[in-house]
Amino acid sequence: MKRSKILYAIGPIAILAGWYFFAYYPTNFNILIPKPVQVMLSFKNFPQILMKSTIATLYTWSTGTLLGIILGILIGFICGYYQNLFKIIEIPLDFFRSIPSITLLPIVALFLGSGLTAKFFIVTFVTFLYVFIHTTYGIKYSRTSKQNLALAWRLNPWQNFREIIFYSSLPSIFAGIRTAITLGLIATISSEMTILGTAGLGKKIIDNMVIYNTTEMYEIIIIIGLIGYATNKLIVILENNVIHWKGH
Amino acid sequence: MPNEFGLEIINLSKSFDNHTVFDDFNLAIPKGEIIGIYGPNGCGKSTFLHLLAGIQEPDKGTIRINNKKPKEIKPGIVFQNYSDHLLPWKKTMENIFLQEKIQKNTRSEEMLDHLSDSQKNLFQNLYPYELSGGQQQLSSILRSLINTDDLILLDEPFSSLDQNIKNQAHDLILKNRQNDRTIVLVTHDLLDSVYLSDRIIVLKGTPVHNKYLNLNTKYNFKDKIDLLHSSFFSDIYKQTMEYIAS
Repeated sequence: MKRSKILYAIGPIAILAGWYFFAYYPTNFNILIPKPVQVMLSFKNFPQILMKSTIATLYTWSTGTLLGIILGILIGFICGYYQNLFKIIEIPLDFFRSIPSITLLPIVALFLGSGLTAKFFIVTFVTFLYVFIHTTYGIKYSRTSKQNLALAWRLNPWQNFREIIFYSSLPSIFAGIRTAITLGLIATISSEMTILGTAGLGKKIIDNMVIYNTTEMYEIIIIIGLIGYATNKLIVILENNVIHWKGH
Repeated sequence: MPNEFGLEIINLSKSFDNHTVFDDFNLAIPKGEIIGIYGPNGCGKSTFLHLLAGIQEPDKGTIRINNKKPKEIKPGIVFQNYSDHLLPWKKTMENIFLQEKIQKNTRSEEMLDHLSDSQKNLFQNLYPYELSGGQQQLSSILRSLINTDDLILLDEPFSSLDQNIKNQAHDLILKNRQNDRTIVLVTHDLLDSVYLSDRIIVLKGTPVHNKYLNLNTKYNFKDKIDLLHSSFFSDIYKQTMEYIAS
């Protein structure tokens, strides 16, 4: 137990040590690497300077992601259940999944402008794709593995869905949600950093980059990291409680 | 006029790609019997059960169970891979009563009389994945016996059981036989098969079954040890092995 805690601590300590080394060791890049203490101290100004941007980012991310998750699960259930429907859309789906979301930003900007709607669209689209695919495959797999039971019991489609398919597909759906949440955050920050950037932490990073305010840039990066890390941990806790049978 | 067969198979044929498992297979079993299906690995025993369960369709021929088509009945079934067919998101006791709950919205609590208090406790409180393989298999057997009036299909139902639980499972099956219920038991243990069954159908190895050995195994021994040491069992064993080897 003690050894395990030490092992977990090595990674963060090594990163901090590296940061200290490159911040204090005289090089041509010192201006790009603020001192860790400076960054930590800058957090005390967070409510005045970054609160508004953080809320804007959280709003875009959470709303877009939630919408993507709901749509992904609903449409994923339908397409997973009716495999012929899935076959019709499988190739376009794989095609769109292969396109990095950032390449869609210009065309989205042309259609929807650079407001909140465009950012919602990008985030929802990205999260929808991953949840949809995982839901569909989750149902496809559950239909194979437990199909004999449903057939022998003569379950009707609703009974089959309610008793077997829904629960069997949950591990795959949760895996999709976990990936989608991370990708949703990436899409949110990317869209804020580029032509859709009117507010949010992504825009703040670019604004600070232009004036070489690296201390605040690093502060924002740490905030984004903490948001992503904490959300991921929450999802894992939720997943372990809801899908207690995972792996069995 | 309805016949008295619990199970009637007429000209059944079933192939997978170019591999024929059954070819014009015929069988008629009186109502209420326990039938043991015995044969070497890969001879089509599980396919036979899947055809009876209506999970697979025959290429040709007719299957009647109590004069009904397979799809018209809801069999109790223990699959060979029993642990895959216990739902891990439900407690074991919920699994045991699930088929009955879905189909009849009832709960035959009296079936629990066959369990010890500690087993009831385990099944009540634990999920299937928290149980040993043997306890999982016992709960699958219990579930299959609760739910049907017409047909029970048991595919290697004792493979993970220790001797004590196996005896308990044997008692469960024997005490729950009914006049209008056919039980089909696939097992590699010939002694189990003879002990529990009224007849044994011996299948040879593939490619094609259109013949089989039908052995009457009704006997009058007081227990399994008596049966094991009897000339009756020796004869059955000899006939079975000779038929498979021929």
